[in-house]
Amino acid sequence: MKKILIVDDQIEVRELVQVTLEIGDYEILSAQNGQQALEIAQAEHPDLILLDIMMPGSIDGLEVCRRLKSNLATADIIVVVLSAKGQEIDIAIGKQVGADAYFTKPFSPIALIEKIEAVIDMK
Amino acid sequence: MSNYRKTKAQLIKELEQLQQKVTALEAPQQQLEQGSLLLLEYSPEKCQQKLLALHEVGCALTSTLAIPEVYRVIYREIVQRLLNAPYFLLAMFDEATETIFCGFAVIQNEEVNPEQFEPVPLGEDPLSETIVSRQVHILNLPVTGLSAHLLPAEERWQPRPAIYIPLISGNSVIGVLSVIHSQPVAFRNVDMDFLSLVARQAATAVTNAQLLTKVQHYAKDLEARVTERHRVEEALRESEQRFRLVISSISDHIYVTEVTKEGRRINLYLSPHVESMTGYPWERFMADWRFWPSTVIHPDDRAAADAQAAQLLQGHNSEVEYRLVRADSKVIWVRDSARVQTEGSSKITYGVVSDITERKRVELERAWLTNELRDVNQTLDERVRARTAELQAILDAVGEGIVVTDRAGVIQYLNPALERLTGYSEEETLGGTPRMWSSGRQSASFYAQMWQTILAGQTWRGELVNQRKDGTFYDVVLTITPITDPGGKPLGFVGAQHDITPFKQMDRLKSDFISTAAHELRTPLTSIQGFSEILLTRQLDEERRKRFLTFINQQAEALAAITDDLLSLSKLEAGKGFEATDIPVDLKEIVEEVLFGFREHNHQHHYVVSGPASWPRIKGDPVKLAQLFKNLLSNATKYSPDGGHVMLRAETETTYDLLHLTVTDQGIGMTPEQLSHMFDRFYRADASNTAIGGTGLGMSISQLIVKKHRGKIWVESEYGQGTTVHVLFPLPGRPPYVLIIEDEEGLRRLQQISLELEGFTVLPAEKGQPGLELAQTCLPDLILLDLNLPEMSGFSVLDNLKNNHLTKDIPIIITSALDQPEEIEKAIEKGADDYLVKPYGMGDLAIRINRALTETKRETSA
Repeated sequence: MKKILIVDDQIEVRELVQVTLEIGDYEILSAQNGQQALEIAQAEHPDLILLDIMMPGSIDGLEVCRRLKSNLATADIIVVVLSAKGQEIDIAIGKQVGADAYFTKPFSPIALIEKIEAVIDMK
Repeated sequence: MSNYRKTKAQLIKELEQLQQKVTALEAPQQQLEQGSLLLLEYSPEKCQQKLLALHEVGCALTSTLAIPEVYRVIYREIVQRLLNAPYFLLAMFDEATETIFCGFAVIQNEEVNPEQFEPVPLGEDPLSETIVSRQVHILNLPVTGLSAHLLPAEERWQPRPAIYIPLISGNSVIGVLSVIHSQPVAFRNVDMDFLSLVARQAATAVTNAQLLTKVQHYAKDLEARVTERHRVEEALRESEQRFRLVISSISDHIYVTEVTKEGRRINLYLSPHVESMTGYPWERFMADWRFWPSTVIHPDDRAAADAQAAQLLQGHNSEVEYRLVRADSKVIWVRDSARVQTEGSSKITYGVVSDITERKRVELERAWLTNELRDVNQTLDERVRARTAELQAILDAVGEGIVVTDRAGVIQYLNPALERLTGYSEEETLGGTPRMWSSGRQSASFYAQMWQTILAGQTWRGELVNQRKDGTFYDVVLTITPITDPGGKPLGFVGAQHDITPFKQMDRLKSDFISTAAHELRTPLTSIQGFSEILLTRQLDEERRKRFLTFINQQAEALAAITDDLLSLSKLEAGKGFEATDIPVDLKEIVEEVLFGFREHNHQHHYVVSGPASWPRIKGDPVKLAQLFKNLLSNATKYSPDGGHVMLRAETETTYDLLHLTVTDQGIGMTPEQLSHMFDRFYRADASNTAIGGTGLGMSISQLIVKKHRGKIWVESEYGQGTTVHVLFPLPGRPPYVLIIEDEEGLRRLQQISLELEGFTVLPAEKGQPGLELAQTCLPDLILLDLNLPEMSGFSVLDNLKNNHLTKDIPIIITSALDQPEEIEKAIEKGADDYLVKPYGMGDLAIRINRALTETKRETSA
């Protein structure tokens, strides 16, 4: 059973992703800010993180990704960005900090599952 | 020359005369030979014998004229043949020195070198006696005198028969024949006579030989001298020819002049070139030395020539340049170089006069050209200076930051605009390089491409981000133009920085807005799309269905709110969207209505309203006013923590006919930086904080709404301490307020009374600072500002008013005793609307105030 961590400051989005993924064989964890996301990632070592970018606090999604990828203990975790910022430059920055995939909001729940599975298979 | 020729002719003549003499001398001998009959004596036989001998001796003696040969003949014919003696000495006598020397000697029949006999002076010996007495001596005594040397020393004491015969030529005794026998013999007197005759003949022969030798020597010498003369003459001729050739081959005029002690001058030599140089005949200069200085030398230069003459007279060499006036009136320049040599009491001057007209012409031309060039340079310098000053003024005035660097990029010049742009002073910038502004925002290849372009002599233009001294960034369009030499090689560069930061900021704000707006729109859309798809594709229980539908509904509302904001802003900006601004509105009612909604949705916050029981109504648009309070309360709620208090307070300021509203929260507050951007469109205090949603348009919209109601809005905040938003609205029927800032009390009172009579309400202030405070808090409609104020000057007050968003729109009329145009211009430039020169009539003041207010009103409603 794969472990997926959902990171988003908006409760509606966290719930939406959770509901979307509950039909699959996943263990779902969730965090509402960057700090929390890092702590859970360290402790639980999920297989994949669905990461929002624009979050309140000093650690945004990009910083979370950067830290995960620069830490040997967490570098192997698949990071998938899920952001409302969908311009080319945003995607490029996401790739630059080490994200494995970049999905934009709004999204289709059905398509999201397929994409996540594809990313996991690729790895 | 002619002297030499004469001398030679004379010499030849002399030689001829000498030869005649020689011939004459030879004549007696011929006579002698012919007149031998005189010797006839006693026996004809003897006589014949003697005559024969005499003849033979004569023949022998005349056969030669060479002296040694004559001597030898005398010995052979007389001594050997006639006397047969073994010893013989031919003594010669030099009459001038009275010396006897040996001419020929024979010892024991052998001829010996006569030079072995030392000459002896005339003495008492038989030789000397013979010379003195001119008589033949026959002796038989020991031999003495020069002849004694014929004999060996040991035999000289023995008596020897000897005969001494004088050689007489003319009247002189020229020598003695001394003959010594070794055997005793007897000489007879007759023999003596005969010997005398023979001796006379011999003497003549000797004399002749001697003469001839002399003549030959003389002739030879003469010949040598003549040859030498010829040689010298030839050399002289050659030298003179060469000299003339040299003279003729140079165009200079050469002169040799003697200056006597008395100062008289004599031209010893003048080269023919004097003719071609002056155009006057040579003879005129030779005839009168004064012709040159008095006629030919240019009158203006005679002083210089006189000075040279004086120098020469003192024995100093001299070189002078002066002009000559030629016979054809043409003026030429010459250089007269003279050397002087003292010869006895006079001085000889050797001079060369060279035509330097061409050189002078070149010199003059060069001098003229130099002058001309200097003039041109001066003019050019002046023009450059003027142009530089002009350019300087332009460079000082332009808004673009301009630097000039050398080839290496070292800054040589900058204009004031650059100082303002970069924040670095001129001293800090000069000698530095443009790297000092580098922000690190451009890549190395960007700069490499830039350098490649400008080093190739081409202009580079591009946009880049630079950094100021204070660390802030600014955007510029940079144009770098190389200053090139004629070959196109860059000598330096001119860089012009055009500050595009405001445009860039606007651009950034817009693009930030678009991306923020997109984000804000996508966030609710995410829920709407996601949950609706879940609802459509999954079997869900009733509770979850309802829950998801509620999400969808809420997010749809949020979407609508954003859409509304955008529309409001665009309408307000366009000056549209206001309806019924004259309807009296009860703000309290509106506030309560808005708060109802907030309390419904935000259970965590406490909303407190305070103020009078009823609020004075204001005229306005109730919908927009409701939007204003929604915005203010929304911000207060968003930026304060759960459980925080949000207080809304209303206060009537009856003194100034204002309604003062404040919204205070206990939230995160704002930094001064955030506060300064408070009313910027699209600005959000913390854009990355999506927990606090919003479009960044709320405050912009609020400000526009307040302004439309002729009110003011400002914010007080301290980071971490919460924020208070102040809103001032004028109450209906509020008369126009005029703030008077005037330190002269009498004038202030007069203005106040007269304006109050006109229906204005007056806010008096006697200094700048209290005036500024009143301007910010009392919402004056117009300000009367005196320029000559204590502490803070009128211009300073004006600057403060125009730099504050609360007061910058209030019309200002300057009142001042200063009437200089530059003062008025300065005030208008700083933003004053009108300028009244004291003293002025109060009626005039009212008219001006009304005019200013009308104009402002028109602008506001437009």
